[in-house]
Amino acid sequence: MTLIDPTPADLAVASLLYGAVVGLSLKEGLGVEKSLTVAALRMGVQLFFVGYLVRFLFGVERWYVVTGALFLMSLYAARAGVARMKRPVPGLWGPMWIGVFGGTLFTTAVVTQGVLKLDPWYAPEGLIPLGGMILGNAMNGGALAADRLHAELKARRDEIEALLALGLTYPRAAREASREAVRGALIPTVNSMLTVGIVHLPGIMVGQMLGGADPVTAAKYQFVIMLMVAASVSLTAALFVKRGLAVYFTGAHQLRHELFGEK
Amino acid sequence: MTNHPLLRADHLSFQYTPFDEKRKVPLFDRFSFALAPGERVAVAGRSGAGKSALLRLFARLLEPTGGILFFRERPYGEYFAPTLRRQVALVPQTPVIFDGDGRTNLTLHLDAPPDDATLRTWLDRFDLPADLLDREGRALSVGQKSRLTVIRSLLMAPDVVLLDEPTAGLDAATEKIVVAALTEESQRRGMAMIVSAHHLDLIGPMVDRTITLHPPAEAA
Ligand SMILES: Nc1ncnc2c1ncn2[C@@H]1O[C@H](COP(=O)(O)OP(=O)(O)O)[C@@H](O)[C@H]1O
Ligand SMILES: [Mg+2]
Repeated sequence: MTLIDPTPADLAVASLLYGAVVGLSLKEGLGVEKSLTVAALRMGVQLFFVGYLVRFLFGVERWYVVTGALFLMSLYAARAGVARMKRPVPGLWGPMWIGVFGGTLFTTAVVTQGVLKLDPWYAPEGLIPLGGMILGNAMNGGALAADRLHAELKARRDEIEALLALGLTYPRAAREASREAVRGALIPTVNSMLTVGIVHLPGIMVGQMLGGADPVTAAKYQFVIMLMVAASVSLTAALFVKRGLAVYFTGAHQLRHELFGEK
Repeated sequence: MTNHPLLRADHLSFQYTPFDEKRKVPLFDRFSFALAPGERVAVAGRSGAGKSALLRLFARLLEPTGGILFFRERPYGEYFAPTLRRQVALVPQTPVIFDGDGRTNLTLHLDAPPDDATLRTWLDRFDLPADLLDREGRALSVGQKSRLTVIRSLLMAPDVVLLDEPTAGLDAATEKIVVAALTEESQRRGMAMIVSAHHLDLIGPMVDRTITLHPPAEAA
């Protein structure tokens, strides 16, 4: 099988799928055709933009351009991770970046240098897509951990304050909340590991097979990717929670109730 | 008794900003107060008068917006807060019980927990059954829970204990026992006490003096 490169005509056929969705929305009065159109257009623009941008990066074989691009992406990911919280807390941006950056750096280094042994080490065809994907997962993990941490601290504020009153430091007083936050961030990853290949064929595997790769090779890649996702999510969540927790307390180990609002 | 106060509030002010509002609500305005070692003081006042807030300020769980608090004539800021809280021990108004048996609930914060015999003596002084050590803490009655949290704080052997309405969930007979046990501990060790209460029937006679707080609207 050779690589299938969809022509503009092929893409037009794919757009029929979108027409079907809009048709359904109109017929059933779902009222989502407008937001669907906006989303579809945005999605298209973003994907083509990324496609061309990455094609450009593939052409520039400079380590500082490749790592610089990933660094900028990590800043954006950290911002998006906090903005996605149900109630964004000022001050969590830094911890989120540390989590996302740390989780991505470690995982990407192991995969690109240890497993795939990229040559040169910054080979953009490997580093950009893998780094980007790990970053995306790290961001999801960080955002989940942030929401969960906030909810746990809020629900446990009496308990935490009681422990503080017993002379415990804030990391110990909030230990359960921290654990729950990291655990909560990992649940979707564990679930997807359990169902991968059975209920769900990941997009990358599908893409690789369409690109002409041997299914078993695609499976090997997927195996590495799943472990990679688990590593980046847990590392990001753990790093974020450790740093982010400090935002919820003052230097005098006082819980900052004002971040939560009424009970 | 020395001349130096154990705890001192010097022109203490506290105002809070209600959530999602800009307005500041003053709760205390330049409040001064001194507590001598071993002294017992009641804090009276209606619900909403700021009794809990005052005790939480003393426990450094809240930060004053003005004025200074002193422990042994050193400003609070000079202490590591967790260490200070073992000397100035707050028993919060709502009893918090953790997963685990009575023993865990009494000793989770202690580096060198006392043996069971000692713990049983404590339980007995507060009219609690000895088997409570092995019972699930969450399954206890409100009154038992609240007494457990009092003992838990006393086990730190604090210089001053801050009790926020410690007898709220208790019947009159139990309330009497708790007040007696607290007085005894205070006299035995020279431990100072600040007790908040919205009625002083039983607590009034055990204290050296009473201060009354007024809700900010009334005070203004
Ligand atoms: N940090 C705070 N944030 C918001 N409201 C507060 C804060 N501290 C105290 N209050 C308010 O101040 C008032 C006094 O509360 P409290 O100290 O619990 O009184 P009391 O214990 O005498 O019933 C209440 O209306 C309470 O809602
Ligand atoms: Mg109160």
